[in-house]
Amino acid sequence: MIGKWFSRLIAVDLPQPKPDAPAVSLKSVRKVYTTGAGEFEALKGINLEVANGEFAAVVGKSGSGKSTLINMITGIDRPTTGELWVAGTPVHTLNENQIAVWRGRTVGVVFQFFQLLPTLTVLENVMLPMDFCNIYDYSERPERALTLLDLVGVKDQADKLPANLSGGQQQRVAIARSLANDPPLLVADEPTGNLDSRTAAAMIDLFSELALGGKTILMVTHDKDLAQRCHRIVTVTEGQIAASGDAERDAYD
Amino acid sequence: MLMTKFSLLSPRWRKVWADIWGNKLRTLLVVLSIAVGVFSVGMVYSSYLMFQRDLANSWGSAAPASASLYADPFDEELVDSVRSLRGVSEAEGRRNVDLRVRTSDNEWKQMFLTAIPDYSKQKVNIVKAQSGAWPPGDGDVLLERSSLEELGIKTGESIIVETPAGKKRSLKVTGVVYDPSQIPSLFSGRSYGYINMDTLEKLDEPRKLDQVNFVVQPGVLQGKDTAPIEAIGRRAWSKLEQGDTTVFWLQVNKPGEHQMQSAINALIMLLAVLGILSLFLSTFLLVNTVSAILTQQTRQIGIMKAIGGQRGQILRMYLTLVGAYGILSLLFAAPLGAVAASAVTGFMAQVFNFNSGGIELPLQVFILEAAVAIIIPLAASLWPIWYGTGVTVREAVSSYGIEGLAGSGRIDRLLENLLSRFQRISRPERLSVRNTFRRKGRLLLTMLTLTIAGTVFMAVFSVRASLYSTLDQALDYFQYDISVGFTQNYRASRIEQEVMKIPGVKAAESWGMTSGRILRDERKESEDEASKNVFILAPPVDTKMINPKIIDGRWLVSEDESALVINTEILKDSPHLKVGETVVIKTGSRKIKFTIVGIAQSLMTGPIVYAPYEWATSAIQQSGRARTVQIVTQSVDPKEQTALGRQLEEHLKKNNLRIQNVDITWEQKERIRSQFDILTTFLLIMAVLLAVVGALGLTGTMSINVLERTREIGVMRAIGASSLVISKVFILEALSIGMLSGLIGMILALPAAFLLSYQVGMLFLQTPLTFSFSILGVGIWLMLSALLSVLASLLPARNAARLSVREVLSYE
Repeated sequence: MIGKWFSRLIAVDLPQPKPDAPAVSLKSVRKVYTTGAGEFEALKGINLEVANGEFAAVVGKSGSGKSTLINMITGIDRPTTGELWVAGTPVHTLNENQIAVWRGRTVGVVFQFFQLLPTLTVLENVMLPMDFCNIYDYSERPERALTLLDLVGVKDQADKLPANLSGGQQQRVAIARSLANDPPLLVADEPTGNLDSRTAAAMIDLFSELALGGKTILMVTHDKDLAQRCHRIVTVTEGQIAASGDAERDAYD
Repeated sequence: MLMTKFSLLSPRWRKVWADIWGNKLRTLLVVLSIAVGVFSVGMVYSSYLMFQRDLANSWGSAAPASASLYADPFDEELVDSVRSLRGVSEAEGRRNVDLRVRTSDNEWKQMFLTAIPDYSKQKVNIVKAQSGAWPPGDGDVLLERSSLEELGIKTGESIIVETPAGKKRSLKVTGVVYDPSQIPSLFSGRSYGYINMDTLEKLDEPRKLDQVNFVVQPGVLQGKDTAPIEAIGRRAWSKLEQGDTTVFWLQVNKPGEHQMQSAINALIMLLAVLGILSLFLSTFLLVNTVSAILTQQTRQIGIMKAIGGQRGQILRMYLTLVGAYGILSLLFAAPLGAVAASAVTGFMAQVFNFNSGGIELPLQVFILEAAVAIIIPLAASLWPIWYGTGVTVREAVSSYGIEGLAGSGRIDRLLENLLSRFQRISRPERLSVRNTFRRKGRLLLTMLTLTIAGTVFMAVFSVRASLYSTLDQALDYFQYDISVGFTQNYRASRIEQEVMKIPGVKAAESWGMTSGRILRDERKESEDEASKNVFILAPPVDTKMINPKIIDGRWLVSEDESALVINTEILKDSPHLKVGETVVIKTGSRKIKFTIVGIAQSLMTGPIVYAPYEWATSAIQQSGRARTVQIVTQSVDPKEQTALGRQLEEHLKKNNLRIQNVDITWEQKERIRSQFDILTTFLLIMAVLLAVVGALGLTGTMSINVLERTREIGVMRAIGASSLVISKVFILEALSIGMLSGLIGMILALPAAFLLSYQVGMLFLQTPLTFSFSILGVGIWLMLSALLSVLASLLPARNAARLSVREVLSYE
């Protein structure tokens, strides 16, 4: 009874997405942080569009604002002003709870430090988003999770706890988890930052395959070589998207 | 295989399960802190109910008398006339013989033999068969069960009694009875025996009655007011007097109140205080623990939100977690509470001579326990959970496990100011002081929990100390070692001469003694409003045998004529009396007028008035004579004093002085002490329980604090901190929390102790206790909280210090 009461209290309705919209579309997005030292403008009016099925690398120096940009797109942080459309949904108009539901269905997030729940097995970690968003039938979930683990190549680890896996394996599990609800957009924040170069290369291969399969992928990276393997490089400098010509120089000096 | 394993629980409920089962230490801590509250509330409430139940079964079912009349021997018909009075529902006559009995260790003690005309038709103050013969045969006696230990005599053996006339008689003990309406031997210091009317003749007593117990009709009563009973009692009094019987005394009992009600009330109040406080404490503990768990789980909450978990879903997960902790605690604490309650009731039953009805877990107790175990934790955790699940993903995921930024509040500036003054404080020490104040909410909760526990612990110790100083003061009254009372007045010089013949007697002082009742004035109508029976003692004005504490006016002086000093016990019955007023005392058929010159503090001595020996003895026409003698012995050894008492008794009897009673002061002191011990033991148990709750609180918070900072420990290690330095940081932090709360608790304990002492005193003795603040209690608590804080933080800190840097930095 209490459960029902809660669901009603926190009932979530999402606006209908606009059809045929680009995967990501930012219009004059600004983000201002107020800190002890005064105001800091992290993003200074960004306009960006990412097409469906694109595999884009987001590069920039520390403090350039690329993490802020990514956080906007995943709905982890909100813009101060401007419009943010992801897969046809006006994210800037959603509240925290709507964002949670929306994100669970629309965006798969991969973190630098993997961020698997330590007390759940690999399989359970992958099933968790399905559980939250309640998209797949209850009995289908374990099978689907196993399929995803197979896809990323760690099916045989399904019963282990994350702590018993190597870094590369954990990141593969995290990717499988981000795919759990079959979201159109994958956002990865330095997914290879904690991996050796061989494993990192394998990870990029995996992303490329997924992009070929129709997913839109945004990946923040520091690695020049890895960025080169993406379809497109978006360079962020001092809170703005650099013009294509300057991109190379600004990003890696 | 996988399918079956996971189809039972979905992953998020698996996570809840993993949080409970996977972290057993934390689960244990949480369950313990809830359980302490559930346990204490359950224990108190069940004890209370079981106590009520047993009181009703044992005492209530014995049809306790509303009042009793004591008179010269009379016949059965007079009882019938009392029974026929309007408002009286039942009356029954009995005969009491006050005599001396020889115990198994060859000592003579007071005994009260009651003769009941028909054991099968008892109506008031019903005596119940317990074992052996029933009813008593000719020449047989049945002993009250609380007197068995006092006498050291078993069924089948014989007792030797000495009649008021000085003759020794032997009675055979053929059984044991239970008399719920009698004050237990432990308190009264006398033994009780039950005989039939024929046995009276064997004791040279006439086959007559001298006491009427009656019960009034329920409709007559007005709550707990004794006035309606007194009114009927006075009519019964006149009925007996019309039958040519001299009545001495009317004893009116408060309706529904046991003889030992004041001690019972004090215990129940202490129980209630204990229950409420433990509930309070465990609520604090719980908020503390739940918010700590949520802080630990912030990152996990963030991840769950990042992959689509909604606030409601996560909220439900954590509420379920807390609910599960509650149910676990309930399962664990409810039976324990029932066991403890039956132990408490058993203890009280033993002390107050009840039948303990055995263990029981009444439904209403279980419901209360369930509410405490589940609803309170849920309510207490609602805010921390709501807040915890409300953090944005960015806040949660970007937390590196090392909280940033120094505080900028007033307290922080004050702290920094203090720290900068003490340049010699090392870096790690500064770190622990700053850490203490970093999470102010948590600190506040921990401090509150510990402070309350400490306050009550110290207050309880102070109540204990106050009880002891009250006791010391009460016992200081007795400066004599032995007191001998006679059945009639003898020449004072003769008494003293005989007493001084016994080797070992250092000093003797004979006093006049009689009893009477206080009247407002000399008018006849005032007799209807006379006080209860009071003792009139007439010591020499310069007596060294007692040390009464005068709280108003003065003690007697040699010029005094009709001067009177009353004790505070008198004021309970006659609150209108003041120094300087005149008062009339009726003793026998005489009315004597006195002027009150002083009021003496009295504790457990009964209602006593003191008048100057010369004047008072002449007023009752017993000049130069005495009825009691107080003796100081040369030896201070209790055994020798007891032996001397026996020698005195033998010698005086041989010289034809008839003895009513021989009281050995240390035995009387022991008896008073044992009554106090019931409360002090209880208070000690209370203090221990509170210490346990406080300890759990500190242990929980400290351990969770350390766990939370595992990553920080890794960083310190990485920059070269030894295990010792790391341990020191945490121990110092724990010590500062323990000490600070101890000090605040000490300040709060003073008024708390004062209030509690006052309450206990009023309930137990009807007079405030002599207040004494227990430094010992403060010391114990400060030591305890220091020790506990060190222990509570040492273990997790050591564990953390043992981890390698790599392990720590990858630690979730």
